[in-house]
Amino acid sequence: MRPGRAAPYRAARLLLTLYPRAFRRAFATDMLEVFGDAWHGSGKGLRGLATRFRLLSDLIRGAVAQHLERPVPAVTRSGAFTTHSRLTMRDLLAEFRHAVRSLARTPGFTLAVVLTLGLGIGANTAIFSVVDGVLLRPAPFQDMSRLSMVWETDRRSGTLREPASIPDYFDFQERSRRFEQLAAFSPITTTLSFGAGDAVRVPGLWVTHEFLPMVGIRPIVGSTFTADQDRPDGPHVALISEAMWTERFARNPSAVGATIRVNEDPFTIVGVLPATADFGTLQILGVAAYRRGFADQTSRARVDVWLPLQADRSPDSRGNHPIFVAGRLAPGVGVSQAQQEMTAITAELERLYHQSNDQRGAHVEALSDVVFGGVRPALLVLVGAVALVLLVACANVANLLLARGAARAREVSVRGALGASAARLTRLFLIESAVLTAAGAAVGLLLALAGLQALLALAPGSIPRVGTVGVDARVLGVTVTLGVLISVTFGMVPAIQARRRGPSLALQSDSGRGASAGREQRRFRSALVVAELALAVILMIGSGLLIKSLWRLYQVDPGFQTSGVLKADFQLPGSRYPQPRSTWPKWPEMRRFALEVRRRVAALPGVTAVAMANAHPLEAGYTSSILVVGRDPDPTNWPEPSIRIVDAGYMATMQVPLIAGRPMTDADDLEAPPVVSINQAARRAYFGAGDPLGQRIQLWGSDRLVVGVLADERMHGLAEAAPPAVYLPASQAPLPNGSILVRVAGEPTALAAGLRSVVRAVDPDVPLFGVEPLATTLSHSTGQRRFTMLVLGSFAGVALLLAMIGVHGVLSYTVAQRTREIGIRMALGADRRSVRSLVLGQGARMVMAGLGIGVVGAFAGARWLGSLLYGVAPRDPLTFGAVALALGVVALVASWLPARRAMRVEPSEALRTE
Amino acid sequence: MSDSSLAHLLPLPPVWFHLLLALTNQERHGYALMQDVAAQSGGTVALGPGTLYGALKRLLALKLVEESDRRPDPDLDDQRRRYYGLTALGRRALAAEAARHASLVQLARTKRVLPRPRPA
Repeated sequence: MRPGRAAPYRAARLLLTLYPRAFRRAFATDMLEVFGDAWHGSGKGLRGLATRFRLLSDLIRGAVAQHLERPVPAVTRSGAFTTHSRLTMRDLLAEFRHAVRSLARTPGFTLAVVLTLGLGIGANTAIFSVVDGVLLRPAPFQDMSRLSMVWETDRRSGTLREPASIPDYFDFQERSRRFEQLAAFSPITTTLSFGAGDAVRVPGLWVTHEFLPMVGIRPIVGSTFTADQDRPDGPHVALISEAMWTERFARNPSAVGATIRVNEDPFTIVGVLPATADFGTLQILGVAAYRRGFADQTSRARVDVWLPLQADRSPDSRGNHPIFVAGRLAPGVGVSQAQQEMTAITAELERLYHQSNDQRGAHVEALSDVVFGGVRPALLVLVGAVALVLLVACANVANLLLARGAARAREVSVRGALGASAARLTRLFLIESAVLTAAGAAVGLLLALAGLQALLALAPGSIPRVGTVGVDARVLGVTVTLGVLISVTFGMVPAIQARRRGPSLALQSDSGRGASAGREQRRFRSALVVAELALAVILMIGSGLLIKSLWRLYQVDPGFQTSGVLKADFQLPGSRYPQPRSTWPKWPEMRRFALEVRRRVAALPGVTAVAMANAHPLEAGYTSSILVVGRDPDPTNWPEPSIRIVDAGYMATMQVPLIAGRPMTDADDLEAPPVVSINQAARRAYFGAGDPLGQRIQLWGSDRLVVGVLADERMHGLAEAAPPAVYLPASQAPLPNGSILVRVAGEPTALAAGLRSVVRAVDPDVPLFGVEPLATTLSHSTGQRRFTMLVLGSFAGVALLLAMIGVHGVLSYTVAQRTREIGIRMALGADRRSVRSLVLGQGARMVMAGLGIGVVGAFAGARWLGSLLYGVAPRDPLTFGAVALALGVVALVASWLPARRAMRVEPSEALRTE
Repeated sequence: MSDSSLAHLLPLPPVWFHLLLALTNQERHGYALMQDVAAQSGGTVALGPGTLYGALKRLLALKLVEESDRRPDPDLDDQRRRYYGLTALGRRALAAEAARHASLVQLARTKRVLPRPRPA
């Protein structure tokens, strides 16, 4: 592991940024080195801990010393040095101690300011670090702006992001002039083994030899594929990931030339690719209409192996769409110009190859839009939200400091009267502010580190390069600076006021006889609180809308039952499960495997149903074109249906209701006539109001009788309507790969071991992967929404809390200031209840103002949230109402304490306080 | 051993004194200095990287210490590290400070604050 990645080094590096630039340039590397040695040599136990603490605190002390130090004295001509004094430092230390003591005397205030600043700084640093790491950092690819995806489109299904056929890809290459280069790739999940019996399932990519040079990825050792290695029937060569190289070869360069087994065949390693080489792969596959490979199987896949595509340009494969095409635009060519050219090329291919290319076009899309398009809106919303949190935090700090300043007016006056100079008072307040900000920044740094860990743990894999995000020192610097500005500005207020008023007036005004400065300040502080409330309302409404979206999403009936189902994916190796085209669909080895697994799993205790399918219900799978027999070929203007190969146990396992006809059974075997079932979306799309039962569908060269209609399953995720789908019985279409789905009476995970041992008993060399409850798979599919919702929700919570501290603070201040007035009112006959409503009324006025402004703001800003919502309008009145109600209740609680205090004022006491 | 050109430097801060002492016999890199100072002070002077390099910066600026190209032992050498050595001025300052301490100790002995050393 590189030392730079470990947490203490990161902390030390951050602290080093506190030093003056010149000092850093001279010593930072050495200091890190020494820090690392000392850290590792610090021993175990309590003493080691103390040493480590000393090491870190020494770095901070050193930084302070460097900033306070006078320049090193120059040698005078006589050879003597000008004197240097260490007095200033000692003076400052004394005042520093005084400030700490004075802050310690008011722990409630100190804690509130430090936590508020810490929350603001921490949350902002964490979120901006993510945004910087994900969106702003330059992509690892060379000239990212010139890279784009070239998707195929299908006008029948209306899909815009389909993979291409291999002959199409070669035609694109030959005809295109506006692309400097075109390359292709395709996802695979491979079984990789390095020696005896330690096979792992890892995501891999087939790439043409142009691909890696085109995106600008260079190998760490070895070389990328040559054109010669990329020919059909070329050599068995592979590239492995840096992580794999580290894990399996301890970063030994001799890995190049070593042999690994890929799906049981020996391959020679020709190079190692850096960790950034698979940048964007998951996002590209994630947005593809089908053939999404491992993007559907795991939420955080890392590509570990690359193989040459070795594409064969046989013309009969034009109907197959196995590869994704990406290109580098020629200099000066834009995406829309490339789109024009590709549209012309695909139109020509449509004419030339009507059979296979009818209705197929091209869609050119900037690679950065593909990779970042999915997360940009959510991340930008979070950035906006966290900026609001920072504003609320600043308002709150200002508020707290003003309150403290007012409370200390007397102290300031006394000190002034006793002869403390204005400069000295100013310095006192400055140092106090600095101490507060430093503590706040420290808390903020800790919160940022912890928050970032939490964010990364929560973050769904669909966020690109989320694994490489670290705390950003620049962001930390900016937020801390803002904190300093706020606390210094408002920390100065008491000193300035004291100077303006002069000692005598300040000494008098302590009793709060309605000094105009006090009223002015109260008004200003109320305005601050109203602003806080308004911002909190905006955040609450935003997160309320997201919560409702997620709730709506969970209300959606996916068409299948995930609870109680365990899912496992498998792939049968071609070497022992041959798939000759000529004998399809016999393939006896595959049938035997399926039958055995089903029989044995069904016998496991607790199992109520078991099924095997080519794709689990949350996998998009692949589509294929169909015809309705006897219908004019003209209405082929249909979407291609998703092809689902399922066995007789599927409907019972997934509990998909049968709408019409009969279920498919094991009797629908090779001797029986070929049959299919369709879902309701397919019935609507292909048969309209007519009856599909008894009709025939032509698929893969044979006519199949439609025997049943099933309810729709949402295979593209909860937020998307079910696509048309055609179900084939597995007994008539064997499964070389797919999922095993098991419904159990108890906890599904408890069955995982049993399932594995059953499959091992049937064939020890078929690994299971993606073994997890289907409910987990479903919750992964909503991961990004949940992430945004949780983060925004916690921001709203923080903002609300801060706003309530503000409300409470201002009301308490008012009550304290108006104690005399309240006493007089009571003495004149006002009852306690009216005094309470006086205070509550002031709170209510602030809340109403904040709510009003906040609702208007949320109304205006709601459209930013539009793309993140599901099943709820951006101006959902229910959410707005609920937030108003919640705010009212919480504000009542916050106002209650000061109101009660006012109610308990004893008139005699209040009037005596002079 | 009095040297008027050194007067303005004395007394040396304890950390400087220890650092110069640690450099008397051979060139040292940062971590070794840290360990030496800890050892020769019996653990009473524990330097962190901030204090260490803060002091080194000043010692370099005052030309009491210089960066050294000489490496102590090829086997122990670590190319990445910078080594520091004593300058002639540094050696004189160290001696002057030690002499200052010695005369103070002498004074303490004549006042019987410290016991007189027994002749061997």
